[in-house]
Amino acid sequence: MRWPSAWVDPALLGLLEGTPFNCLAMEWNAALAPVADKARAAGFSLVAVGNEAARSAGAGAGLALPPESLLIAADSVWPGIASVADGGEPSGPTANPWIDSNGWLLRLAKVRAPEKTVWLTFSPPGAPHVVLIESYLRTIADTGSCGGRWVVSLDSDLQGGLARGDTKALASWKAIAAAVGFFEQRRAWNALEPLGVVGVISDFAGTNESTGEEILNLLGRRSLAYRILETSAAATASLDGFKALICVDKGAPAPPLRRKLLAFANQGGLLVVGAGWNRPEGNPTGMDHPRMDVRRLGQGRLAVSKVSPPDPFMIARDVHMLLGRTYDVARFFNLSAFLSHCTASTDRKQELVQIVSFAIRFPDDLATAWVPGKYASARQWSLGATSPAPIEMVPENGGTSLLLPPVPVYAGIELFGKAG
Amino acid sequence: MPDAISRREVLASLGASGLLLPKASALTTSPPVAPVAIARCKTYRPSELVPTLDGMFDKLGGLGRLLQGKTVAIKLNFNGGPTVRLGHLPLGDTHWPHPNLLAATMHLMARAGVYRVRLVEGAAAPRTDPFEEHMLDANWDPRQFLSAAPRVEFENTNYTNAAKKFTRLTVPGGGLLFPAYDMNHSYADCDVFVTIAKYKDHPTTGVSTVMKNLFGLTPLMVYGNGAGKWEDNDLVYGNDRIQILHRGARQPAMGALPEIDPASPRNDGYRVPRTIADLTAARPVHLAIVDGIKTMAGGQTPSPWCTPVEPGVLMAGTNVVNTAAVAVAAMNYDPRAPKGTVPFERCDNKLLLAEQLGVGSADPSRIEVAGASIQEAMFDFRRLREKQRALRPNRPYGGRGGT
Repeated sequence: MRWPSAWVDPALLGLLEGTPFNCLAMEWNAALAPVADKARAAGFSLVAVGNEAARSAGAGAGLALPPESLLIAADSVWPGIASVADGGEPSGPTANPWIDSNGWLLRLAKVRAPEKTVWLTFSPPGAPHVVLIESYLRTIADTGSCGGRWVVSLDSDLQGGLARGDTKALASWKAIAAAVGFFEQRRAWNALEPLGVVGVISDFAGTNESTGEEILNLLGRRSLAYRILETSAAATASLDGFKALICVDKGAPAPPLRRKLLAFANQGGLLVVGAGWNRPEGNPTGMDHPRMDVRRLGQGRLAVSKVSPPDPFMIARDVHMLLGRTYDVARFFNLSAFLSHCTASTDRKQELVQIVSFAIRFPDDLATAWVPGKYASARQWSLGATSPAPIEMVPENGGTSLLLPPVPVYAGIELFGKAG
Repeated sequence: MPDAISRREVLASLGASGLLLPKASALTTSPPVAPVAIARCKTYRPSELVPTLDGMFDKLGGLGRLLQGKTVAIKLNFNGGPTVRLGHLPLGDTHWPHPNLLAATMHLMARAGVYRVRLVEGAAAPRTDPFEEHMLDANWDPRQFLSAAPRVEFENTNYTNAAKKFTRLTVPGGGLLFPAYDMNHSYADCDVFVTIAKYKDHPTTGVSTVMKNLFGLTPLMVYGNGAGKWEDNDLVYGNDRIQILHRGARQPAMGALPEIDPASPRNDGYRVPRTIADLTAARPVHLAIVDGIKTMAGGQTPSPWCTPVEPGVLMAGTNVVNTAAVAVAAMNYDPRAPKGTVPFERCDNKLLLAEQLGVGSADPSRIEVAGASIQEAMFDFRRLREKQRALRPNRPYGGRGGT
């Protein structure tokens, strides 16, 4: 956790007893020396964070520099429904609220460095925002569900409350610690592979960075499960299991990748490319589409964006609709503002559907998740729970509806024994 | 405390209740009546649905007479978003007609020799989203319908689609709110028009059945809150008809005719029932099917105040007002009740308005009921409504508001 600079009383280390926290990130000042000494003695690792001067000072005091896995990403955000200056909620063209999340960022980081656990450092919003406990839990879940970790950072109200021993603050702290511990105890979930038949191919860099990353973000917002393929690896990667590929980076891909993508489409896949795709192959389908030139190519389709650069929101939506919801890995009901992450073991004996809910309006609504398969058993984990709750499964539309209680913040649904 | 009622509304209400003389054209003849078939049906199993429906349609003279060799448009009843459920219940168990009922109906239509079936709805989805995808979003399988009848088509009628323009359907006699309505071509170029809907309560118009379903004929491109702000692009969705049709805050877009009297009440209890009555006259219904096997009481779309119920009944008729009147009576409501009384506490009675337009009689005593009787089919929505009102004594029934 990020140790508050104002907590210069070593006795406050007592808050960490019985919690999963084992490392303190400190923005160094000399008044923290007694805390650092006691923390070291108790076995905590100490890491210097802050600006260069603070890190340098911290290193001088014996603190370690941040490890490479500590991603101080400018892109990371405080997860939640984005707010606007007038207190309302901004919305996209769907009129759905806009959700700030780091899920896509963590998934991309994992593709780039699969061996690392990525830690995000960001702080709660400052005044005049009031940071509710649900917001902390949502932040931990948003990060943890995608295999990352958040360097827990407390807002000034909670810092003050804990320093005073305030009962409500202590209860919040206990819940935060339990949520962090929940994901720590389930590190095995990070080994599960993302489900999804849509592949996003990009170098996610330079002029392609913004568009590529926003496509990931918005595919997630639609609950359209995706997998990431970096351009550098795509030419040699297996395309098994993909039904659609998005490759909208500027310029035409190198010939080997282009040939591979065309073969994918010829064999029945949907290939969505940018306007820079020269001399599109195939024949027009005659489809009246405002943003895509949809062409028949072999057994599949080639969809060329008419817009450069393409609108990531529209790309996400158009791919979903051109592909069809038939390939959804899950559908969700009564979850108005949420993100999901579906993963599975390589042998498919275990599947995991994680839901992070950002809705604040109807927290009592019973939720339903539908999955296109039949399973021997299902169980649900809630944040901080020490044991799972069984889930009633009901056959529906050829698959299974999982009858969930309200999901105020997070649900981790484990499915076992898929039939067939 | 009742809502304040203006002199204009009083006059309008009297007209709707038959206390004022209807238009001269309607004076000369009694509003039409046609039989309404009622059958008990406990489940949505095809093995129960198909023979039950078959028997009901036989009592109406048979489907072959109606639609052999014809193009049929079936207006669905997709109100609310596809991912909103009442508790865990699938939409077909609460506020959308059940997909098995639709498939069984289509199967029987196919058997009767229908040429083409077009499933139509002003779906809350972008233009480029295939209508089938909207069904999938609700966890319906559109393949169920594709295999049920020949030449099955899907059309989201919020848009012009292939026709590139909307078709104007005029209200015979001039209309109550608008003289004509601009609609998707599918409502004009079908030979047979079918409305299939749940029966349930409705916050604005008291009850929602096969008549209220027609409100969705009005395309959002023309009558939605965003109408006129967007042209025929693919973003007109996610809004409703509150501004233009409910409140009359402005006139329709895309060259549609304005309302008859811009000085008429800007009150949805006045406007929406008239819109629905107009639509029953402008787009005559050939077959109306009420899904009352499972539904919900207390509202049109899921809310904490709704209760799932299982009346276990189906109704069908060839006159939409007659069918609605029988359905409303079977809800233990008076289909001729005037404004200010249950179930039309804060709205005019759309059935009487449609009767006034000469579409059909709202008087169950004049309507031949075939099969089970209204009494046998009765399910007491009134009791549930009163129970709900007791829980919210300070709030008038109906959640949409309006001025």
